[in-house]
Amino acid sequence: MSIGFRLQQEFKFLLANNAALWALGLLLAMSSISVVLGLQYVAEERKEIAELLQLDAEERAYKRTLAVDFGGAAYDALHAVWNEPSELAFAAIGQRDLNPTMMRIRALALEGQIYETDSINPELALVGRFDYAFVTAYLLPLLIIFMFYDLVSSERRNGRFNLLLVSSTSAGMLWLPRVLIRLLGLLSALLIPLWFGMFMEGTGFSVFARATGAVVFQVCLWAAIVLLIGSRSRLGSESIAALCVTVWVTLTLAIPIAGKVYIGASIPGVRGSDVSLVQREAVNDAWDLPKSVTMERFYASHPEWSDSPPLGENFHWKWYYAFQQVGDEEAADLAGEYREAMLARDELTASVAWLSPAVAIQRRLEELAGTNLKASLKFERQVRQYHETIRRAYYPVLFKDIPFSDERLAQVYIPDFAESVGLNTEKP
Amino acid sequence: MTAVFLIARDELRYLRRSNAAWFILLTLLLVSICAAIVSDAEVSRRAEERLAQQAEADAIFQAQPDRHPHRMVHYGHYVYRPASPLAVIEPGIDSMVGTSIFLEGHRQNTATFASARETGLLARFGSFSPAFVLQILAPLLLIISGYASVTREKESKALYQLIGQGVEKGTILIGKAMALWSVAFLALIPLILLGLMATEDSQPGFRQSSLIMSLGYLAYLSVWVLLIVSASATSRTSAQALSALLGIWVVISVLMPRIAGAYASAALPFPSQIETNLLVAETLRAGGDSHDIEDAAFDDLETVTLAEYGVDKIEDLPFNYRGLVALRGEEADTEVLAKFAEERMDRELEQKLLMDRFSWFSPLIPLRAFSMALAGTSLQDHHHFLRAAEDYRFSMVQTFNRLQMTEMTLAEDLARNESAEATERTRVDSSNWGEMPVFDLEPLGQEIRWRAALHSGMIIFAWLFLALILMLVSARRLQP
Repeated sequence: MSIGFRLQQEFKFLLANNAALWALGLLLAMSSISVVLGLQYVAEERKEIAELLQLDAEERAYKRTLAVDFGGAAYDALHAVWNEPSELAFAAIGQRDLNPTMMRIRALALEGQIYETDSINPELALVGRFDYAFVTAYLLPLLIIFMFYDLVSSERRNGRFNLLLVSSTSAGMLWLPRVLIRLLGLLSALLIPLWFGMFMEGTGFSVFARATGAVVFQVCLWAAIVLLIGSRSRLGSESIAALCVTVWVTLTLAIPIAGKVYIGASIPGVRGSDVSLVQREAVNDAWDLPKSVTMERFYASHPEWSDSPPLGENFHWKWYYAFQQVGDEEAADLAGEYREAMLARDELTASVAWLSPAVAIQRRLEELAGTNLKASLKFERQVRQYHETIRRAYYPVLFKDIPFSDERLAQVYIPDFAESVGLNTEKP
Repeated sequence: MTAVFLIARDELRYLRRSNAAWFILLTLLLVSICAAIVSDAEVSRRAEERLAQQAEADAIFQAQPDRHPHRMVHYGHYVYRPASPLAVIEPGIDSMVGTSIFLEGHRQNTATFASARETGLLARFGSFSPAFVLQILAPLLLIISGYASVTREKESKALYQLIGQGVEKGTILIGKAMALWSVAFLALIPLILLGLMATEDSQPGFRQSSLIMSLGYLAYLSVWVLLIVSASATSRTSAQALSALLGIWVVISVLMPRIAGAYASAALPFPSQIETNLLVAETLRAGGDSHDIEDAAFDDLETVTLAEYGVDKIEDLPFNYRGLVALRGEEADTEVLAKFAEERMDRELEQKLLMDRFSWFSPLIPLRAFSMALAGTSLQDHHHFLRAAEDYRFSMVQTFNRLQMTEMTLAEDLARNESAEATERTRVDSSNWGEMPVFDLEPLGQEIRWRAALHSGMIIFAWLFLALILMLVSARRLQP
């Protein structure tokens, strides 16, 4: 018996097995639906970003026509920042919906602006997204259990086991083709929709290869787990099924939730709202402090402007923007701690991933798709960088006490977010 | 009737003697108790944290020095969302929504710092709460204890004898269901106890809510019991019954809720917050800038006010006209903001209703809605918080605007930046900040929560009814 013949034979068996075909069909349908929904989601986000950019530019141009001084112009000028969905975002939407992906910022204290979240219906967030990562993390293992749990035991039950063993040249020749054919079926049901999605999004080869690798690994891992349970023991089919489902519940539900509880208890974290509270206090206290105190603190971090003409009794915009900046500086440590706490939690989540394939595959896909915490913090970093560009663009006119004119305002050039932080995406 | 009890007793004896059943029962109890303890610790930690933060924010606010009232409008205040006492049992959307809002004049900020964002990936795996155990795990364990309840009798040919002895087929299934049902009832005990404990000294209504909630869970688990016995009765082999039931479990508890969510968000997409903000800004701009008494938008106000007081100039009014403009301006702004906020909340509710349409595909969907509505951790409770925060914001800002109106003259107010003494004259005594009532959110009234739960509660009972019919039909077709 050649291996080719055996594969052909097993393929025919599979085609004759209605239950297995149903399972494969279900998997194909689920992964296709998830990919289509993901593509739709990403397309919608891109459309929103394009619309935002349009409205944003119009509104800012209009506001500039109303300006009567530089400080006021900066106050009214909101600049769009956005986090473009990546070429794999459709497969793992991840935390994108809870993290800010689009906002408009201005030269005021950033800590008061950066935590505003975009709209999300909490009720929908609670049930979780039906994305490709969900299909591979939750549904795939269940279908693998369904297709593999009685691979061996059904032959035993039907009394063919010994006959098959003696009539086959080796045990490998007997089971391997069967396992291979089923794995191929599962992989095609799973990968074809994913590849279609990646083709539509123009995903690069390296991401393509790594995402495919992650999915193949997940399939092989679960097949190995199920076959190990199914072949080793002399348990009946039912016990094997019950055991497999228990393992699934443990790995997919129990461990992640226990991990969450553990992480929450071991890293209580910084209370995010404290960051904005501290910033607000600093900004507001400035109104009651002598102006020179604020200016000294500002010049300490921005010595290049320390030769600016001294302030009088009256309100001056340069003082206003100085205390905004001082407010940010005051909250910087706390904001850093807040980020550190989130990163530390993320680190611990990585350890949970070693115990739970469901967490592992989701983390891997979200990492490849740039929808994880790191990507969100990277966006935050870019926003901070852009904020600095914005406020520094106004400093020359403010600190040199240049008299206001529309012509001079027109020279205050602020590149858009993409240009400023070097997003390598084509303009929508 | 005695036959029913005999069969139930027999089944329970079987379960008692089999190791697997003990294992399942112990797991279920252990997991429920752990969930109760962990959830209690976590929820009370979060609740206390927010209370402490609120107290801190209140203290900072009240300790503000003498100030121009409009400074206080921009200084603003923080409010924190208190947790419902029943969040211990059913955390609901608690972790998905922001916990604090910054309230200030002229604008409405979003609730920020949802704990799910800080938790990261694992937040989506569910929460370790009694509700989760009963919604997801308990049905699975019931399946494992009950899938063979009838097929076992078929496989050992005992069903022939039973039917041969003249036992009604329906009686057999009801007996089996009762045995399984008593297991389900055991699983509910931790929920009932925790519900009683958590509501010991809370507002009236929550204790009743927790008991009604237990009834809903009992109905939900009964649906499962009936489904399990029906599947076992219609299957030829135990293995067949098990795989069918596991398939049903996956569809009901894993697949359908997500599909419903995906459907709702695809069918009724949301405008993004920014788009709304731009629209709001545009609308607000039309309302004029209330910092500027010469803004053309307030011309009418000036004419009407002057006529009312019979004076020619705003300087002659018996109060500070700038304060009045701020007052009216905030009123108009708030109306616009409220309109957009209400639209948004309506849309969220519409999406939720779309999700609820899937109630007929999975009893878990109505059960969740039922349990969250009763626990006070549903969307409507969040909206209640948002509305209360907005009301609080409005009354706070208007208090300051009224102070600006009455505590200084227009001339003083206009000259406030001219000298240190002039600034001093426009400052209002800090005792005023302490007199502001603190933000104290009353939870939604029990009638409102019960009314919200009524619809989904009825669907759960419809499921129960249908499952009962299913079992009676499968009893008819029971083949030994």
